[in-house]
Amino acid sequence: MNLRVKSILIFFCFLVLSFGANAKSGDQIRYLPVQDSGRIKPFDTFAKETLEIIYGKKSYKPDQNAKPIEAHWVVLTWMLAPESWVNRPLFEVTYFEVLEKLDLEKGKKYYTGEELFKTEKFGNLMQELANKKESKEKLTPYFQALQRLENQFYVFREIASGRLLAVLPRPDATQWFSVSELPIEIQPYFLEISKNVATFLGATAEGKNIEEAGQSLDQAVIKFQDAARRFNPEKYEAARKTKTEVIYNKIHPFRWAYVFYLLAVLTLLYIWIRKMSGGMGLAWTFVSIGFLIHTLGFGFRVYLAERPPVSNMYETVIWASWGAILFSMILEKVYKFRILLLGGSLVGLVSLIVADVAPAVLDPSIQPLEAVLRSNYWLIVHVMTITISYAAFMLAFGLGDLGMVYYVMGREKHDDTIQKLTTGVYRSIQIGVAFLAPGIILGGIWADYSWGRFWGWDPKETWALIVLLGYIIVLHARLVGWLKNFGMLASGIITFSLVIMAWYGVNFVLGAGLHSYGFGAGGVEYVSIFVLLHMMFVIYAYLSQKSQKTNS
Amino acid sequence: MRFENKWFNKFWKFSTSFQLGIPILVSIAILIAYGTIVESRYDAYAAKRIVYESWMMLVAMVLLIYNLTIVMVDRMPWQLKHYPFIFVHIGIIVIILGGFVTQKFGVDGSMSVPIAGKNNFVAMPQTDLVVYATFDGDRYSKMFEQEVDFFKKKPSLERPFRVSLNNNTIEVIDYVPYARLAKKVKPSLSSQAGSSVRFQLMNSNVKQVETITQVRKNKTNQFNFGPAQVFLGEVDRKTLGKNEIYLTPKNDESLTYSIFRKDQAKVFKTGTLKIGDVVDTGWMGMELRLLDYIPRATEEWDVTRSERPTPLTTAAIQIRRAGDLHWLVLNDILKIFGTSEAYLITYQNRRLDLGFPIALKGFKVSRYEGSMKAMAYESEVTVGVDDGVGGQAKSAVISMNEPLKHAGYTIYQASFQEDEVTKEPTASVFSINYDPGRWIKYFGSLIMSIGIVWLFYQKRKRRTAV
Repeated sequence: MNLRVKSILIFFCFLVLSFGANAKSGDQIRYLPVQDSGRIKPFDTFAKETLEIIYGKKSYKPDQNAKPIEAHWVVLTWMLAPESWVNRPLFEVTYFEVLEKLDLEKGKKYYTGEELFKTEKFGNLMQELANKKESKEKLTPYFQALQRLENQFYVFREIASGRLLAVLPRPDATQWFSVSELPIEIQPYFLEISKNVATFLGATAEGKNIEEAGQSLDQAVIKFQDAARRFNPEKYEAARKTKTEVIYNKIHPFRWAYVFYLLAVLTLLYIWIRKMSGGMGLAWTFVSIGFLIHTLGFGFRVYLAERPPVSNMYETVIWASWGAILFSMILEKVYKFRILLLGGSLVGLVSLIVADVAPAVLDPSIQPLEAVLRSNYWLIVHVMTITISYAAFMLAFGLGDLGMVYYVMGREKHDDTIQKLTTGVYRSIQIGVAFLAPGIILGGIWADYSWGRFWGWDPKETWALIVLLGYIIVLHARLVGWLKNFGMLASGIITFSLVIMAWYGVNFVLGAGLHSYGFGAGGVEYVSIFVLLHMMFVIYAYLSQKSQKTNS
Repeated sequence: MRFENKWFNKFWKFSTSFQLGIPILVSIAILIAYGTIVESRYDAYAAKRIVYESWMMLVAMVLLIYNLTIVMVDRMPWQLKHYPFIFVHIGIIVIILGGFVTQKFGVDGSMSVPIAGKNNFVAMPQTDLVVYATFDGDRYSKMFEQEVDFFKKKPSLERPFRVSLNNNTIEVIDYVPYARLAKKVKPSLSSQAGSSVRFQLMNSNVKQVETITQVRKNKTNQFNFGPAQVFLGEVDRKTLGKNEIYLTPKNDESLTYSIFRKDQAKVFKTGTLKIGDVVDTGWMGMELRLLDYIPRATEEWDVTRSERPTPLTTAAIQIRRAGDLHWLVLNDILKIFGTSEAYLITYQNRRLDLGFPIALKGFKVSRYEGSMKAMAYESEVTVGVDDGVGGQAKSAVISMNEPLKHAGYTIYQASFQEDEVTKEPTASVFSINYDPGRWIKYFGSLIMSIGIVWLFYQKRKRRTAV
């Protein structure tokens, strides 16, 4: 890399960092430490997560054209003036059957608290849910939707009453004082915050100068924090990371990473279409910047969660896309095919976007670990090894897709490119297998250590083995010449369905076994369509290349 | 390799080829994928019994070992370039063999130890049917004991599982793997059966219906309402301090009731009670209404079939003796009365004596700050006893991911049981494991991993990549 490229790189990173660090007046409230679901987080994170539960998004849009209101203001006003929210369409309900039973107008996405909770029907549904839970059976999607409705109701009510927002460490217990329980001597400090919030929002609504109101609010928050620190200095120390977390929230590093991957993809496509000889420097720069920000975001999460972030679906997607980029960069350095970097950037771009747009399925919040996952070296090693192998398979999948495109465009004309892509797919699969097989064994060691058996046919481990068998079959079939170039590229795509099953399907479709701490719901229809479309694409490419053969 | 015999040569070639290898791998993949679906629909036990420990799986594994071996033998004499793949193949074979050793000779059971209590039996997955008989009501002798596998060999009315006892037969005619249970009281013909009452206690605030059934004739049973207690049986007032009602069976239609107040030793009110009668107890306006009275009754399980398992379901079998049908729940006891004899039948998980007790001194759950999410579980235990001849008790702490090794067994913290109301833990559940195949599997894994990494670095003559 030359000097100019390096300086561009540094400049961009600086830009992104300074973007996050810059603070507006009235922003101090976002840094306020809050205790929630087992850890201390800034009010900013708390508000975003809470709004997501109720509204499904991280900021609130009163109507189509309005400017979105940031989560922390929304949650503050729920608490300070809940009655002003009762008639606003705030609660996201999308499950058809639930809407049907509540007798609500379909086609809307958001409903008011008045519509949802004031009727007898809501009580009946909650009773139905309680009965189902009593039976201890698995919750079907309908009951999961009811569960969400119950959560929405509970969270809104508890926020409104001030019981959910815990802001002051208790001297005698681990549970912090919530706003409604604050000791007499601390109450005035919080009241001051409330007053200032009201003034600030009033000024904002009237379009007045908010600078002064903002500064006054910031002062009130700082005074409260000082009082809280004096009240319990030791425990308040646990809140020192909240500032970093707000910066992480503001920067949103993974979004920046995919923006740069997108730029890289566009550049590489341009180079390919125009058949340019140069331009690779620019593409490398974009990929490198994206990769650097990607790594940075990863570092943030490691620092904040105090563990390698590979404990849920969202985190593994982030980690695997990082791996896919890394492998594509390595392979590109070795082979200089250009197309390999394109494949990698595409895969990184798509998976980061997927991780970003589906928070209900891929939960980006930082959660404390389940008991069985704590403080374990083997856990981290096996999860990271196995998911990094998925990264290599993901790359093979992306390259396979590109290969299919070239087959459709004409196999004769693009013979050289197809050959290169086949090499990429083969190498990626090899890398994947070289990580997956030891990864499965490491998983066995962990299982032996933690559950008392090396191998127990748990669905998660079984599917990892099926993936391994699938790719081993592909490699062997190539070895004896059963798979030619087309077969190899198609295998890169088809065999990846097994990875999707092992990675996503076991947790979200089967939902059985000992890895239950990673289970979730949602997105099944999209994933199935994704897999089906790719299968159809492979068939189409096959037929297309066959007709080309007969024509020529 | 080539052989003289043409047919053997053909067979050898087929064995070493991918025409055998790839179908084997594909069928293993399909088979175990099916296993995960079974586990998702039912549970891990069903998947294990139906798929992973089935003959199909065994055949697939044997074929795989055969194929892996023949392919290696075919390459003899080996050169350096063969070693990576030989390592991988031998590694896989060793891992599979290690798995067989574990399945055949290993122990994988669970043990629940109450807090401040101890246990030395491990509950194993195998189930046994045991029948005891008595003729005098005191001494029981074991008449029958056999391992039964009703999950795989389901008994039915047409093909019952028969137990012959002298001149009597007991038949198992049904098996429900996922049964939801409820207690049911029904009249009995046996002269030894106890009585049963159903009654309602009510005043302006409280209204409660309860059932009391005697385990056998003249054996008092009771229901506790807190400050008041209702007994079914002979009057036997030991201490003051509680309001008590005794309901004593008189004849087939009526009971005698005796009401005591908490501060008086002598009876406060007494009389006869028939179905439908109401008595004023004199305690805070509380009335007792007799809803039902069965002079000779047995309490039985009422079983509802569930298609899939839930944490509330358990296995149950239906037993027929002399035309009578009874349900017997897994790890429960069924008592059947004959004309002159009585039988105790148990259907239970095999219990394996560890040879030493595990005593639970304390159990701790630590939670993430300000939430109910468990952070860690920890059991404080003592294993073994000081027996004076070399045996010594050992104290240890077992926590998640920190097992205890003792006398060849590994004791892991698996989970805990908690009180339904207070959510306080009541018992710790350990997984007890003895795995003679462990080191074989580790050794195989090591060889295989070396082989894979070696393969990756190996330069091929035939360029598969390009």
